[in-house]
Amino acid sequence: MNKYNQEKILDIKNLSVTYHSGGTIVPAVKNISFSLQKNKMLGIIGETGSGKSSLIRAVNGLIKYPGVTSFEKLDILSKNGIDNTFDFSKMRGKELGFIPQNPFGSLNPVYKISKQFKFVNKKHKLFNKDQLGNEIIRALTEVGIADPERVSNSYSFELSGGMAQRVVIALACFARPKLLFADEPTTGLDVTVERQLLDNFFTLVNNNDMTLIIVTHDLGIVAQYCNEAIVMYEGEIVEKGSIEKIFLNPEHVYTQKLIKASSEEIS
Amino acid sequence: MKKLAEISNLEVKFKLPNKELVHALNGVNINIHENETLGLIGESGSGKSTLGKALLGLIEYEGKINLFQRDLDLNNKLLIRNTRKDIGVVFQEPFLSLNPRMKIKNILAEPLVIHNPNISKDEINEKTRISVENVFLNTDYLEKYPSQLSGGEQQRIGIARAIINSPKLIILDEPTSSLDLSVRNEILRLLKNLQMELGLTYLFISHDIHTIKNISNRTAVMYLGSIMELGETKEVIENPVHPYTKALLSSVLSPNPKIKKTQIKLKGEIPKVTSLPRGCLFSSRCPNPTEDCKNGSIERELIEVSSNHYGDKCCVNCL
Repeated sequence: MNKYNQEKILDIKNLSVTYHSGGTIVPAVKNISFSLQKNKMLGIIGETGSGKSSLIRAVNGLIKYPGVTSFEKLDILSKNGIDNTFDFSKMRGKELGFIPQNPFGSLNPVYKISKQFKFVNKKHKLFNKDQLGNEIIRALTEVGIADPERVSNSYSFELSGGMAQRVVIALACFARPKLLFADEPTTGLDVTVERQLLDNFFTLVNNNDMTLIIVTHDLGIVAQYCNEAIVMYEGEIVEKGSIEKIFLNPEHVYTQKLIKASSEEIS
Repeated sequence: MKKLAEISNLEVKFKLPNKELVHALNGVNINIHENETLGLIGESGSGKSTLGKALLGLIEYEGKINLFQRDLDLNNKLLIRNTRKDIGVVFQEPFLSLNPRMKIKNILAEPLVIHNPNISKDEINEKTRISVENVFLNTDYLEKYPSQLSGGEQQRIGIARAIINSPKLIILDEPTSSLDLSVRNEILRLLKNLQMELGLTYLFISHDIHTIKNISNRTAVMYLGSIMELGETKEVIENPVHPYTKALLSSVLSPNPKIKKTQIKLKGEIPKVTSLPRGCLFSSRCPNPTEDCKNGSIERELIEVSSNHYGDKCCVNCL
């Protein structure tokens, strides 16, 4: 029992997110509790407005006013008592990685890609100057970039959507965070590109002792790559379990509907 | 089978500010049959939407487009206007394609008034009422604004607007890709119903194979502004002949964790549309291209591989 507790990398109890707009309060995430063990790959599935993105943003301390996060317990990487005043920036990059949906929104257009890796290096003191160049090339190769020299010497706007998203993944994984969050990392990419990118990405996560939480509305990604899944609906978790349980024997009516919709023949 | 549209050797080029040419369509030959749903599938930049725009007479092109037994002529404004009356369009982003400051009834009345200047008020009311009822919304919606509607309802209004002039052909440009799974299926069901009731013909543009499988009778696979494969949807999905179609289909992730597919990987990335490969358009990614494919002297055309199933001549011969 104790052993399992130690392996818990994330433990959340009664986490809520509400947005205050005008005089009204909109609840986005309602009293969610769950925990995640080390080296698991968790997929959070839900439709628009189900609160899936708000949930992982809250865990990363990224909800700013008019959004308000509250929780009874939020333990990340066994750091107890993270409260609302906790400075997440100390954990970001090194311990928590975050991959957002739109790569161009998170790459700085005025710096070359290599420079953006140098920023990460400076902040976390990962490699010395002699190694750094090679490490950047290695990080880019790892995510399946065939010509890493060109890419590292480019600006973000010179890259295709697929390439830019690979760069974002490489950047997020550069400091080898223990817990990685990905918010719809492949939405907007073409299927052939998406598939190659996912293959590279999950190999990277597997080989580097990382734990992953991926938010997506694409059931296929979760069914094929993850080992646990959470289904969200209107800010609540309606079902949680192994991939086999969720996709082959879903219990909740909503999950059943969702799975059916993904493979339904329309006559 | 009656042909509603005949497109031959269609080429579209756009000039960029730096004088480079974007080769958006490179010799497209395709017919649209009456009362069918023709699916266009392909990745970003493959020219799917450009083909739709060319049919609407919205962009300049080379080649020939014959719509409803008349040749389209961009200089003949009256002809274009009359042709557009027979074509409905539904766009990808339902909210962005509805004017936020107009009530639904006015949004629906706009195309009616444009194409029938002498229409009476009563007739407008009658037609808008029928058209919202056709998309299974009640008449209360006529008094609402787009922002008061959910994404699925907005797309229903988009469809109601497209059918209001009783068009022959409807171009659906990714009508379901911004919608959630459950809503997507509702819209597809609605489209199928309308097609049967009103005898419509659809050109359905999508990048989602699941959607195409559910709605199209025939499917054309596009790559770099050219059709790589064309056939009955079932046949194209179950027995693809073109390596690109095979790669595309193998990339789709199944929501059943027991079905594991290995991706057939293509080398490289899609070439830039400003610098196309010489010779066969697929040559830069083909697993075994010949010298001829790479350098040049090949004819770009579709050949029949089995009954009503066509593949790009160069690629079918290579493999």
